[in-house]
Amino acid sequence: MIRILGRAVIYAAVLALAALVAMPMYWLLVSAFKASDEIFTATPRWLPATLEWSNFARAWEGAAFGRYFFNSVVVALAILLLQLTTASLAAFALARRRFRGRGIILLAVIGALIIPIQVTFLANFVTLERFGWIDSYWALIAPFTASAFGTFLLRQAFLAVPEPLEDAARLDRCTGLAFLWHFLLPLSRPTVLAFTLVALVAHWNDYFWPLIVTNRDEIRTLPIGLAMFVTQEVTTDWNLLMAATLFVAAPMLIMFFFTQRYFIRSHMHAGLKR
Amino acid sequence: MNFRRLLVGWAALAAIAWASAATAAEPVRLSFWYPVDVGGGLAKVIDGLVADFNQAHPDIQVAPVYSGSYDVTLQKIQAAKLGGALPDIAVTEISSVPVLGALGAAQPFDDLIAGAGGKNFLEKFWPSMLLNCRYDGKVYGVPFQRSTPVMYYNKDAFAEAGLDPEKPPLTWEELANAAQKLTQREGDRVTRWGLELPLEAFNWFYYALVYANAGEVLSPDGSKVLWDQPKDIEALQFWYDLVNKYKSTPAYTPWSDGPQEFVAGKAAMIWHSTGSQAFMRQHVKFRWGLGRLPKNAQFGPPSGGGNLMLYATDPARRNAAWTFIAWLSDAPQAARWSIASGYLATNIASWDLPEMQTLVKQRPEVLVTKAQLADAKVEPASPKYAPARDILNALIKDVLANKVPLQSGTQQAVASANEAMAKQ
Amino acid sequence: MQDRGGALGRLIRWRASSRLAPYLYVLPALAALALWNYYPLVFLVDLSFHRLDATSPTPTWVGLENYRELFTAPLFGRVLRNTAIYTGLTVPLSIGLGLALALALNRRFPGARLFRTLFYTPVVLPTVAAATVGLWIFNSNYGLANYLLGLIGRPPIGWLTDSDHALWTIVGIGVWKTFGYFMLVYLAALQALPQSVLEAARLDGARPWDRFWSITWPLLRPTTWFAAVIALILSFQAFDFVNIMTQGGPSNATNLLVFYIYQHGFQYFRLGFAAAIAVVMFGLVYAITALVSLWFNR
Repeated sequence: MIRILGRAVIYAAVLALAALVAMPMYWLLVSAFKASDEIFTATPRWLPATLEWSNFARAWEGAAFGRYFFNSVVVALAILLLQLTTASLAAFALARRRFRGRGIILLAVIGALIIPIQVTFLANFVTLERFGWIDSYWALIAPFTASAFGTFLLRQAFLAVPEPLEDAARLDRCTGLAFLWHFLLPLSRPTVLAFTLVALVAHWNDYFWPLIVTNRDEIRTLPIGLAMFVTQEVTTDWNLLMAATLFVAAPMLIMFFFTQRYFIRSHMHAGLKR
Repeated sequence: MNFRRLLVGWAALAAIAWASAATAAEPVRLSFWYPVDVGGGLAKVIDGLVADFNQAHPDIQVAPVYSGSYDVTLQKIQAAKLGGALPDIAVTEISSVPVLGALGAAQPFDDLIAGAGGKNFLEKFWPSMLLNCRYDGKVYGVPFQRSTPVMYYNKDAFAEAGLDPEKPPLTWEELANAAQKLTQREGDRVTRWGLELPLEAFNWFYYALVYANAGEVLSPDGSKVLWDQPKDIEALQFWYDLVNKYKSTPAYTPWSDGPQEFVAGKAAMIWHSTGSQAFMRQHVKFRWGLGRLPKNAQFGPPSGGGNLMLYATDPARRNAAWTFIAWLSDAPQAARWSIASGYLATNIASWDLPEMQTLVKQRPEVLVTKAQLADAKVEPASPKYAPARDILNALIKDVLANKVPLQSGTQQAVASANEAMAKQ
Repeated sequence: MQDRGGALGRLIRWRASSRLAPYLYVLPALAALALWNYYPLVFLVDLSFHRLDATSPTPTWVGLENYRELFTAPLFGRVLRNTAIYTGLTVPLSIGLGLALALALNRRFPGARLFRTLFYTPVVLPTVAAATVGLWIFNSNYGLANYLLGLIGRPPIGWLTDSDHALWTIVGIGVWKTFGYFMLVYLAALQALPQSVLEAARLDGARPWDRFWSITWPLLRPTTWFAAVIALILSFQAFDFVNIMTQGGPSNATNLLVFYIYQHGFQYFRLGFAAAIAVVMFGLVYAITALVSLWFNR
């Protein structure tokens, strides 16, 4: 009896929290469909009077979103590919090979995890300028060639693959990089997927860095388009901003909904010690 | 899936990236950074203006680039100065003029002005607008998108409260009276404020009140703030009274809420930028009007907005950039920009053009903005003013919210500000 | 296993078997991290010993002057305190909330997937978007938050405009934005727990609360360590919120270290001084991470 009551209380608490978390989302969704004068009413309107689909069209036209979309995809995918490559190679060595200095290198990788962008951006800006890469795709991609987080996650995942498997593979003349490609990575698919999601989201949503290193519309990314709706001198077109936010956030949300199972599975090993 | 396919995939990606980078390396053009608020309309106007220039000047091709807000534009320029990728021309907020001049990012162009007629060129602009164009005695900017604060008032509310809708208050006394009469309450809650003075980072309305009281904000050499002078204290005291004595004004209104509150009828009078006219025109459903900011000792609205500034150092690009600047600030373009954006036409002659005459006929309230242009005062600026601006902002918020006493709080703020500016 | 054909294949196999191989494998990642993460740190420390600002546009050596000024700045103490409050609250709250939800949702029932997605949504939303929605919800006059307060008969609060409340509001947003991630991390960890031990405890008649504290919680320690480090890193996101919603105000109530750096580096353009602040911040973060790691791995 107490068990059932306890469970009901828990369920109610979860529901209440869900409502709290969902409310800003709901507000975002609903406002994207409101007409301009419905935004600032004396009492909040829970449902728009009519569905203003035109908001999305107007928001889309407000900035070069088509181009930004393309750029965001290109940049995010390029970064992902680079990071997966450098991370899997490094994680492979760190997890499956013994060599002098392994411990220090591992520490160096983990140490890089906690260096925030406020520390790195200025030097990176100057470095990019020296290479002549400002205002190009390289400026958006190069600084993110490696990922300490990804290297760490993959290392943990590779550690979980049993040694005997590698021995058996070696008998079949599948060693080294071949082993990485044919065994380690497929077995770590959940981790790869999880890291993919985290990295894609982080770089998809990055506003600050692209804003500093790009000037031309041709290579700018989505969040910059979003920021264009927040104005200074007059007042903000909230409904357009919300509509734009929706089509910026939608791809990531959809992706997560379909891959969350892998996401969960991948983090099973996150806390394992050596 | 094998290694070969992976390599091919890699090569393809690299090729795409390389091709994109290659097409990105286009021939040298003039880059023009602008911080105009976009949201559809204004970016297209800029594009149109620039396209017209490019067509009329085939040897100079200007590429317009939206560079973020005023703050972000300033930051990008400062970063570019470090990294070396400055734009050729940019519109920057007027208080940045000394900052960018001191940094050596912006270039003075007295020589180019001399070549274009010297004083005759400068006299094309409202003298008040030129106040924020100089640094160290040299000219660094040409007025482009300028604004002053102006008072929007609800004529219907005026009539309701027994005030003359065609006579907005012109003195502080009249303002306080009107504000009190216009404030409506439902029990304890205020349903309509008589007057709202939004506060933003630039502290515009503090300057407005101080200037209206014939006070000064910053010492001429830009090293000391004067907020503890009697006239400045009186100005802040008046604002304080509006909030706490007459109770006709809220302690804090965020800048971007202002127009919305006016439109929703939650504020009968509101001070805001001339740039908000377009918004008001689009959304207000009652009779409304524009009034000058009331005086106590003099009419003196502070200036705001952005100037065209020159950053190119290479002589050929410099001359080309100057051609663009001179063209863009010329009467027809100034008129076109003003009509589209709501910023003030800074070129005197543009007001005589037929399109502006038509505008005045359609919207006589625009004449109020013209009057303010004549009286406008300088926006306080110096290379080291930035931290002082933030200290003033905090002071105003704290004093109005009764968290800090006016007199002693101001003394402290002045001391901190002077110290902070000395450190720069 | 198919023999890899071609010269490339042979080259790769040769590489793979040489002693050098591991070093070559870590080289790309390490080189990139060195260039884009570690070099900037060195650059920054070097810059912190110089003066570089609007009135002195080329770097000039000033030794420890920036640090002296920083440690005697009255605002620095305030900023440190704000940051301590923010981090000290968001880290345990977001992890704790994540754990609680993971425990609650760790069973199959209709809608579980939906709930999990819902709670994870704030993590996926761009911070810029979250900040602007937050600005609006917490607007003193029009915001949903004050409207709801009005519904239960309470007076409106200046969520972002009252210096007594602003920091708590930012903390709330910080927790809201990140707890979903920890929920997933703990869900994964819970599913990886050895069920046999838990079953044994249940059969022994141990109460749920005791089962949690004596068995589950200790088993989750490595996960909690991981979560703590990540939460610390995520707390830097606060910059986006402060920058868009409060600009460090009102009256420096929400001026956090991350914003303080930006304020001095970009708004006042005093890069040497800002570099000193960044070095101090990094030192603090590093020290805390090391302490936390030591504590968890003892």
